[in-house]
Order: sequence, then C-alpha cells, then structure tokens
Amino acid sequence: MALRPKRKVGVEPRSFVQRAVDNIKMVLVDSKRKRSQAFTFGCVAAVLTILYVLQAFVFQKSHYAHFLPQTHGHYLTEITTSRPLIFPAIENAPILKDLNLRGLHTLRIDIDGNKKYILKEDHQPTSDKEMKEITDNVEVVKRQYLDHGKMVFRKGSESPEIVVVTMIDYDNYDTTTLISVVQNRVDYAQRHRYGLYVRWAQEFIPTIEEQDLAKSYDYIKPLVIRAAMHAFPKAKYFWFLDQNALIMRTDLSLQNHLLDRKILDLAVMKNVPVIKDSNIKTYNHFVTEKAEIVLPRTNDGEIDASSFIVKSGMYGKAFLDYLGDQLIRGYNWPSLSASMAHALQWHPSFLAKTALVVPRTVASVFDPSKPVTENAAVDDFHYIEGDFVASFDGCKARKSCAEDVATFYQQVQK
Amino acid sequence: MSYNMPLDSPYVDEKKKQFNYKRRALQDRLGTFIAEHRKTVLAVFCALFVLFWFGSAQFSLFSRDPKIVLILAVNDGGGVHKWKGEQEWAIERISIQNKRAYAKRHGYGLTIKDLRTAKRYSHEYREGWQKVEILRQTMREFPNAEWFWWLDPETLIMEPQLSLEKHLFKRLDSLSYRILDDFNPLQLPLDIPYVDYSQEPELYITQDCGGFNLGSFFVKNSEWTKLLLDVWWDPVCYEQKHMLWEHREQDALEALYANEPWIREKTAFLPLRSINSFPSGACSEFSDDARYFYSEEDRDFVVNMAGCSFGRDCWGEMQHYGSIMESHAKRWWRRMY
Repeated sequence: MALRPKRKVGVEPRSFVQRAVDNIKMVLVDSKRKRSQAFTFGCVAAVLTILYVLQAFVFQKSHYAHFLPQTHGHYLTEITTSRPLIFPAIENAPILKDLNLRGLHTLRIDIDGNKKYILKEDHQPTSDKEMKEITDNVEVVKRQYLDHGKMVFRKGSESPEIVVVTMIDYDNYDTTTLISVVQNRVDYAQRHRYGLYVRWAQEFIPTIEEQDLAKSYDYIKPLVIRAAMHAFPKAKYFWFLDQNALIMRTDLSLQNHLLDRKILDLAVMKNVPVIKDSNIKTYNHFVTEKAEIVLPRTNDGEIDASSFIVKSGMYGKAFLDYLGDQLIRGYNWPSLSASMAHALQWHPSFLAKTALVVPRTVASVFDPSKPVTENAAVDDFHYIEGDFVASFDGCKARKSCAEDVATFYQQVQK
Repeated sequence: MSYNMPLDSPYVDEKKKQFNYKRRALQDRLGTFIAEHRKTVLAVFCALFVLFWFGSAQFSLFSRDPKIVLILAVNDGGGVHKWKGEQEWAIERISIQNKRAYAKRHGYGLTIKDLRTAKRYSHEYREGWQKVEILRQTMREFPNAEWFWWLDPETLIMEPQLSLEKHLFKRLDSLSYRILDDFNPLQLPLDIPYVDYSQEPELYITQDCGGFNLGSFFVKNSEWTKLLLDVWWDPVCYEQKHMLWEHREQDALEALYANEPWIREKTAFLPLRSINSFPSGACSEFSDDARYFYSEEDRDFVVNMAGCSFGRDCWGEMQHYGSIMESHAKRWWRRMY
C-alpha cells in the first residue's frame, strides 16, 4: 500500500485518530510522496468537475421542463389528426341548436348575478371507445362539438400550403345551407390539396367577453384564423372565407390566381386611401413579396372582412392577435373592417405588410339587382359569371342567404 | 585669382537661371504629371471629396459599431409643477458621468436622450410615451447595434468593472424566466393560448412590487421590436384605459403581455436585482422582501432610485449609493495615503 506509512517495529500502537491524522498528513503534505499527492488532488478535482457538469446539466433540464409549456390552443389537451380537412359534423346542427349554449358550455354566475359562459381549458377529449359506449345521441353530439376545437393537424413534414378557414353558425343557418357551404370548401380544398378548417362560431363564445353571437360574430373571425394557424403550424397562407360566400371556380388555385408575386403585383392597390376619405394612403413603393396580409378593398373604400388572406408570419400573427385582443375587440367598432382599417391607419408596420387588392380577386359581391352574365358591363366589384368567389355580403339584410347559397351552389355543381 | 574674389556675375546669373529653371521644372513636372494621369487624379479628388462630404466614419475599415447601446433618458419630470433645482442638475450629472464611464470602459455605445417634451406635457398623458419614440429614434441612429439598454436617469451602475456580457448575456438562460408562476405581482394570466415559447426572447424586463418596471430593460434591435414599438401605443386601448393606466406605457405593455401571444412569446423577465435593484425607500410596503432591494454584500449591479422624486430624497439616495460605489472601487494601496 503506497498510501500507508510503514509502521516502525517497537513503537507503541497509537490511537485510531492519531493514525488517521498521520496518514492524511503523509498523503497531503509529505514532500516525499509528490506523485501520490498529485494523483489524489487530481482525483478530487476530476470528481468536482464531473459533479459540477452534471449539476449544471440536471439544473438546466429541470429549468426548461419547468418553465416552458408546450404551445397549445384554447384547450390544453389536443387531438391530432392526419386528415387535412377539419370540419365538424354539419348534420348535428339542429341538435346543437336545441341544446343551445346553455346545454353545451358551462355557465358561471358570479355574486353580482353576471352570467358568463366559460371554457374549461383542461376539458379532456372523449376517446372513440368511450364515444361508442354512449347511447344518448344528444350526449354524443355534445361531446363531438366540444372535441372539435381540440383537433390539430400533425403529419410529419407534410402540410398543405394553404388552408381555407370558414366559420359556421348553427343558430341562423339551416343544415342544407351549411352542408352546401362546407361541401363547396371541401371540394375546392381536395382538388388543390389544401387544408380546410371549419369551426362553429358558437365554440368561441366562452372565450370572449361580449357573449352575444350577433354582436360578436365579426370579431370571432381573427380568433378562428389564429386557431387554424395553430391547427396547421406548417401551412403558409390562411384564407378566411365567410359562410356567406361560395367558391365559384374550384379549378383556380389560390397560388396561381392571386398569391403569385406577379399577379399580386397587378392586383395590389398602391397609393389609395386605406378607407374612404382617409389621409393615410397605402404605400406607393409597396414590396409585394413581403406582404403578409391580403385584404380586398371594396369600391366604397372599405375593407372587405368577409374574404381575406393572412400569412402565417410574425406580422400576420401579430395582426390577428391585435384584432383579437380583448381591448381592441371590445371597442365600440361598427364592424371588423373598421377595426382592421384602424390597425392599418395607426400602425404603419402593419400597413407596410398589407396588400389591399381589387375585390374581384377573392371577394366579388353578388348583387341581385345587377346582371351576372359574363361580359356584363358592371364594375370590378360585383360578381359576374367566371369570377373566383361569389360573396353574398348583405344577404342578411335581404334575408336571402339560404336562397343565394342554394342558387349559386347549383351553378358550381354543374 | 584668389578664392575670396567675388563670384563673377555671369556665373551667378547662370546659377540663378539654373535655380529658376529648376523651380519652374518642379511646377512643370507637377503639371505634366497631372496632365499625364488626368483620370487617376480626378478619381483621387473625387474620393477625397466624397470622404469629406459624407464623413470618413462610414468608409473606414476599422470603425466598429457598438453591439450594445445604452440609452439614458434625462431631464424628465418637473415641468410647470416643479422647477428643476440645483440638486437635480447634480443628480443628472452624476448619472450621466456614471454611464459614460461605463460605456467607455467596455466599448458600448451611449446615447443621452432629453425628455424635454415629456417635461413640457407633464400634466398630460403624453409623458411616458416618449420612451417609445426615443427607442425608435435610437434604433434608426444605431442600425447595427444588437441590444439596447434603456436606463432611467435616477440609476447608478454600481459595479462598473462588470461587463454586460459577463454579468448578463452569458447566463441569460439561467437568469431569466418566462413564466410568471413564481412571482406575479399583477396576477396576470399564467398561460394563454398560442404562445410559442421556443422563440428566443427579444425583450428583457424586470418586475417590481407593482408590476412591470421599465426603468432598466433590454430590447433587441429586430423587426419584432419595431412592430412592438409601433403597436405599443394605440389610441383605442388608451382611450378605454387612460384613467386606469397610471403608469402609461408600463400598463400598456402589461396589457399587451396579458392578451397577445406574439408579444408574450418574445418577452422574458430578469430578477429585479440583476439590473434594477431598488433602494429601501421604493416598494416600502414590502420592505422585508429581499427580492427587491439593493444588497451591498451581493454587489448588485445597478441601483434604480425609482420614484425618488415622489416624496423621497433623491439627492440623499444618490449620495448614499455614490459613496458605496466609491468604497467598492477603492483599492488596497489607497489606504496608505
């Protein structure tokens, strides 16, 4: 044993403590044992270094695990799907209408008697097996409705480049109309391998303050697109198309029809007032490649919030977050298009990334008082045959939404 | 013929002639040189002219823009309510001197911004919003800077030997926190949908007992920051909240953080004492909470005498911390004097 001193013969055996102290002295201080000393110190240093490294590693790991939650939507648990067409079961609309928000969501009444629907963020999805065991049809419909918001598309590296987003409303539309509307989107999306994301407008009521659907309907649009961005994290463009609109030319792809740089260059309106009589004009030196928000501007000088495209970039997301901020959303706007116009007029960073385009590209408005035949001598705002989209903006006032959808859906089917 | 004999005139003339000739020849030679190399000379002239006109700084190979720029706001408050006194001038001088020495020592940029407009409108709402304008202006001034460090006038850098890289940037990951689960004085929502925490933070702020504190914060020079500065002030939000938002831009940022995921995902927090320690007078209702207050033993980096002009003694505090800093900077050999 190199470390232990040779005991001299004849010396009285000393106490254990004394021997230990002598041993330590020998190992650490004795000048004759430089090699073993170096070895000992080396060992100690190495152990300390390893401990330090391990500790830093462990600490850092726990640090991140603790601090950074996963990105999630309104619900904490999500259902992944590999089908790029996400839409609810439309045939449930009458049952949902009967159930109403009272039956579907939790109503909380506070001390002052204010009633408010709330969303249970930790609501757990029902598995297929459980769903089969439920015999009550109404309960199945309710569970399907609550689980629909949890659907997200995740499939390796594959992702559609464009997602069509639509929000539907079971209170004010009958099932036939809704089926036509959704089927139209499904046909279009399938043909061009796009994604589709359809949500009930009512699903978002518990997440907002003004819980009257008629008042809030417009302001839910940015929330739906944001949810679509979460459901399709790798998609590039999100095209919001209102339920009062049909895609009339399912053969046109959005990339070739509008988003191609050269075509967008032609469609973009430069140096025009953002809204009628505004002093703020769109930029003359607008860079089309950098556009992240594409909004049609109507002939009356308003922004058409029934059909528009948002890119999934920093500016696009910020624009939607801004419009969906409860302070902005809760302001007394006449319409969503007014709040968009406000965003563009007050925040030049948004304006610099926004392409205001001619409405015929994605939002030709159908007006029953005007001829719709091709080559009809109408402005470039109203729908004529051959246009990409027919929007029935104003059909609520005419009370002809269902009728309009039915007539035009027949034309698409031809 | 003696050597003392004066030179004969023909010889002198000849010499003069030679001399003149030579002189003329110099000009001639220069003239011919220019004539021969007309284009080169023109080019050199143009280059010199351009250098003179646009300043040499932009063309020099060795000039390096600072990566970190300190923004020091001075001349705030006061206005018609309160005149700026002798002591306030002194405080401002000490504060500027402190930052200037620090920036020089570590090669950072320093820009001193006058909040005179704030002073002019001190009884109106515009006061705090100048911060946003100044940040934008500074970003234009220093397009190549990476980080901006905003500092209020009543701050002192207590450990000027520490560089920001060493003190902060090398250990940002372990020092900063993104979720407010430990310390959330405002009771902001902990988790909102769509926040992607895998993003690198671009705004580092601190929280004091009353919420966000923007007396000392770091912001990155980026597109995101520009958009934030653009969205920060919005008349629609402000119209609804101007009675409640006592701290103007601070409250607005809190609201943005609470509601908008694109802002939350790039915001991170630093412990107050890492860049923004308080004196014992501030946050006095929490005087037993060590998270807020400057500690001499721990050698806290910066002290911010936040709110000292509201009923506290700014000058006294400045002197107190100034003397602490001096005692730290004292070297052992000084004792011999």
